[in-house]
Amino acid sequence: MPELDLMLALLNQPGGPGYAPLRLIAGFLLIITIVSGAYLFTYWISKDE
Amino acid sequence: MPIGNLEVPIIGKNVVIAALVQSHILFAAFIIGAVLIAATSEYLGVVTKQPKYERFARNLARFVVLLFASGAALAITFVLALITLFPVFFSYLQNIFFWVFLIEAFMFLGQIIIVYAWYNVWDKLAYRKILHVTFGMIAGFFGLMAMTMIDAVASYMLTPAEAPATDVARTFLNQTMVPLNMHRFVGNFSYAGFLIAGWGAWRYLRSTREEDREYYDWMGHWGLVWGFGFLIIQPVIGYGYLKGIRESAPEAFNTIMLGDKAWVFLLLVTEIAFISIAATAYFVHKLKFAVKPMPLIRKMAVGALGFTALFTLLNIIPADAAIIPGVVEFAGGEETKIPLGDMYPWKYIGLIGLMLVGFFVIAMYLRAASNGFHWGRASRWSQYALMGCAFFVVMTMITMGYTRETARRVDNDPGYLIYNCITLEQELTPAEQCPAGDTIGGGS
Repeated sequence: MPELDLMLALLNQPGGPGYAPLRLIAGFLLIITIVSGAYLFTYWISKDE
Repeated sequence: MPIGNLEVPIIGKNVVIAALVQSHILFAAFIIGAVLIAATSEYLGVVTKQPKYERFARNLARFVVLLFASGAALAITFVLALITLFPVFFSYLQNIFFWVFLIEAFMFLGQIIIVYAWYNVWDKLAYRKILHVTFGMIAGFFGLMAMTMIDAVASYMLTPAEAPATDVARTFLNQTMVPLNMHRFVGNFSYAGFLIAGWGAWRYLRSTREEDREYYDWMGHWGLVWGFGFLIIQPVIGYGYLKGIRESAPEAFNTIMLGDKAWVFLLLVTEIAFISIAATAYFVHKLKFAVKPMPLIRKMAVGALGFTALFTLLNIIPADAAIIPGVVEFAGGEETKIPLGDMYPWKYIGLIGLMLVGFFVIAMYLRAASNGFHWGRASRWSQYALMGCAFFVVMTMITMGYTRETARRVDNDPGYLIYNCITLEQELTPAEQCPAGDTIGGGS
């Protein structure tokens, strides 16, 4: 995807923020995905019906 | 052959550890809090003879049993990732905290055995309820002990004791260990309480049977009493923790409070503001349904809502206008200071005021609750408030975890794994720089 490449290049240019903001968002999304996945699964297996 | 220096593309290996640990803590904290809340509720069921407590305790215990494996699997995955990605650091950590890790492992084992036993003998001990409640309490105790062990490690990484690493007592009881442990002890109840409230709200909105609506309406209230009740003592404990960081690692303190990472605390107080306002609004709403009408208390609760909004907004105001990117640069005011954003006295007033108003409003609410509420009549919006609390408490946990771990980076020149002793690149600092001297430090 050229848009993604462009975004990564912009982030990485001298004086730019680097990958740090991207990592922050990626980490957050990973946590939310893992946690909500496991909670939903636990809910599903614990339903009485 | 030792493990080489592995790199994870784009997200980096720090994010791998962060994602695994933060996910783990969102389960672990819930499990510790939920076990103790469930055991207490079971006991209240015995005392009050109200069946809803028993139903609640048993369902919560069942959920904890089913959730335990996910939390445990994440802990193991995290240790595996730590050994693979930070082998040198892990080796030092294992040497410093051998006994702590060993006790932790057995506390974890004790917790899992007793939690399973507690749930499984529910019917068998139906006529020996106090013994059964004791099972739940012991399970909670093991969980708290496991947390205490890992808190020693986590606090040492930010504030290593000024003693050789072989001094077990000084290393274990390092400068911020006790406040961190207190903060997390209280936090477990608060976090689990808000999640229970959010869950009760969700089920309430989806229930059609009158009996279920009454039960889930009560469950939202019960979760919020735990969540908000413990939340309001957190600022003073959190202040003690921050004071410990300020005394032992002033550069780290400056980074998270005044420097590049000052935004994390503003984010934190924003989340606390949402939770406090939503919880107080819920109390105001609920007071309408008191069995014994209490118009005066309700009016005072409305006033408390106003003060909560005032104090929480006071906490959010930044001291440095430049923290909002773009706006002040455009107007040429990069150096603009906002006097109302100063820590002293405004944020102290905000935090202390929030606590006092919180104590006041929950006391009023509990006063009304002692005569009971008409359950099953709550509005949709009051339930959205509870679900909002559950969402923001998760955000708060993630923000605080990030804050503590990022404090060690200071200016990233270099960042540290053990503050002033081992850098993020797993290199040792000179012995004179490391508080533990040449028992950890010793590199060039």
